[in-house]
Amino acid sequence: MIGNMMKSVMGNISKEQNEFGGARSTQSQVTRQQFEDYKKLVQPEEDKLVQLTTDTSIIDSASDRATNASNVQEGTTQRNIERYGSELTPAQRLELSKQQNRNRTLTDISAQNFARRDQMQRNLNNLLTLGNTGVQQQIRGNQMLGIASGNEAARQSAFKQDQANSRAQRANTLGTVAMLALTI
Amino acid sequence: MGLKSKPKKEKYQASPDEKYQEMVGAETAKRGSMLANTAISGLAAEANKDRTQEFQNIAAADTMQAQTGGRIQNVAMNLDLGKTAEDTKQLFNSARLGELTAAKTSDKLRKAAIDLGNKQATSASQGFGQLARLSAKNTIGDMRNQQNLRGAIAGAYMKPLGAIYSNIQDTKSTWYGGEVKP
Repeated sequence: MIGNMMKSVMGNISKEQNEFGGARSTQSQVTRQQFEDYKKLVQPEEDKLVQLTTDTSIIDSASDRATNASNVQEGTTQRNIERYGSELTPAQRLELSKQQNRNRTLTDISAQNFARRDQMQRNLNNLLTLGNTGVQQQIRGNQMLGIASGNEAARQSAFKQDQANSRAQRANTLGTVAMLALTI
Repeated sequence: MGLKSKPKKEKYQASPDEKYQEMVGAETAKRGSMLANTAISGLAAEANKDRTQEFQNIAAADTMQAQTGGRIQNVAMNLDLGKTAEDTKQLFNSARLGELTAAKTSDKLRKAAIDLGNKQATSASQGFGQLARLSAKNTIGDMRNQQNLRGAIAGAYMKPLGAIYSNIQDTKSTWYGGEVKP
């Protein structure tokens, strides 16, 4: 639809402006291209932003990250024990196991807590960006509609004024003709 | 004199440039509304969530982690009553902090939603104002045109009447031998 409209616009403008220069034609081409670029490049990112406002990916991956961290930490402890040739007593081994379990639980809880906060912060930032973008667009759109309404009103007013002038002129002509007819 | 053709409505229609601008304006305003409304609804929904328990849990877990850090293996320390009292105090504080943080978060979100909504409303109000001005201008223009037209028509009637009057005067002067009686 826009493509067809552009073709028709370009045809009319180039016809009308050949005698007066091509500034409007150039502006028309450039600004339309800019708007098409915006639609092609920016709108998909805005749509992604809408999706991201309800994203849960940080929370979803928190447990896996916590498990990996605990595995790495336990592996390091085990390697240190083996490296230095230490032998743990059964009581020490039991205590170590209990400690590692507690650490796993705490790490997981902590990871979930941080993830919830981080996710919330991210989603809210995205909501604010989206809101500001939307409002700016709405203001811009309303301004354009305002200009269009103003132009429409100006055209309507010019038509009505010209119509009234034309009627007045006709009345004047008829009056003059009648006067001449009566005078002759 | 009277040779000008009547103004044709189709000659006063919007140019393709204007039509395109109107279409882009409508599209932009609608899309902007959709994006802003999505954000406002999202912010309002988040603002109305009761996050007290969530923040209290976070604060309690943070507190317990801080309190148990470094002494988890020390059974004697875990049984220290002084520490238990300190833990309780810290947990109470964390619960209080959690509640406060939840309330502040809700307030911030609500404020953000309201701010965005007000910006939208301001823009809409400016639109109403502009339309009202245009409407008033249009009404004034119509009245002025009607007035001018009435004047012109009256003037046009006066011309033949003037001619008739002039003829009557001429006729009278002929009938009454060149003297016009009052």
